[in-house]
Amino acid sequence: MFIGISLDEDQKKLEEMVASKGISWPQVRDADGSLVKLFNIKGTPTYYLLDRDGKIAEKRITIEKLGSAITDLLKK
Amino acid sequence: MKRKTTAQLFGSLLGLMFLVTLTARAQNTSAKPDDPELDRVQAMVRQAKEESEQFSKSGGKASEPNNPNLKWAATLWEYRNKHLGTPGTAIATTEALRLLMRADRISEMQAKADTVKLDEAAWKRAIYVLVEAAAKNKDYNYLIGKTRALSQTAIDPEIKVFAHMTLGDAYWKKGETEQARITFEAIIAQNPKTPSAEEAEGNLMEMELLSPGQPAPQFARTTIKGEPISLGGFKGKVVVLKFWGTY
Repeated sequence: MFIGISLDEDQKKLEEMVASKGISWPQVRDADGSLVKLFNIKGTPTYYLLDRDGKIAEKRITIEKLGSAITDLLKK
Repeated sequence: MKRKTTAQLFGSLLGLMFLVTLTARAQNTSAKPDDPELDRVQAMVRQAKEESEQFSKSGGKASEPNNPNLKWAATLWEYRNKHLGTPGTAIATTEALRLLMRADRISEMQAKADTVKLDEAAWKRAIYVLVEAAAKNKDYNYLIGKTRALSQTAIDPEIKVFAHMTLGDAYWKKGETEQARITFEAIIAQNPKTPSAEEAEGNLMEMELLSPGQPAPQFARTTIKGEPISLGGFKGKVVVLKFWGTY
């Protein structure tokens, strides 16, 4: 399950990008910065990977390592 | 009032820095000629970069003695020794250290960095080189020693607080969480109500609440399509949160 959390200020720009790239997973726009604060995000893109129990499995994982980390978690 | 997030602020800051640079350059050309020495240094840095790319494209290994980085590091360092205290010198110093680091000459890089005085402007960028070297070699001791000294002695307040923050990060990455905590708390105490204090507070929160194995903070929001979404709704599923932006 992928959830996109966008730091965009411009909702329209975000909607256009999501549409043009055919992104199907849900997108939340973090308009008030509260999610950025909650997860201590310092730059983008940043990935958090959560296991089936909702616990943090990996944080600030690189996109290169993300695929195999997901595969490992799905096996559990 | 809409509050900007740190990341957004960072983005705007970069944009602003770019603008300021452009404006500064424009003023330079109208008021007085550009700094030819700065241009000279930047040309050397570009040349070094090109040669380094060629070298690795043709299969050269970073640690080989014919890595052009070594030649250019020596040239830039010689420039530094002849021209102290200019903007070009700060760049020559940083880039010489960076070239040595990228050629895997870490101890040589550190020996040279030790001759750079703690009040030099070069540290503004050179700290990044030490951070990269530490991450590359998974050895944070040199970075810790240098940023501790800089956080106490640097004259430029911007360098001072940046070194202090980097010190906290280095302790954290090394796994010395108690030292990291003390450092971030000191940053908050010494720089109240500043973006640095806010960053340190975020790091303290992350150390306490966002370590692997801890439950992810719960949230409920509405998607851009107007559908409600909450993290609790995905129990039993592996979830990836991607923080991103179209900018």
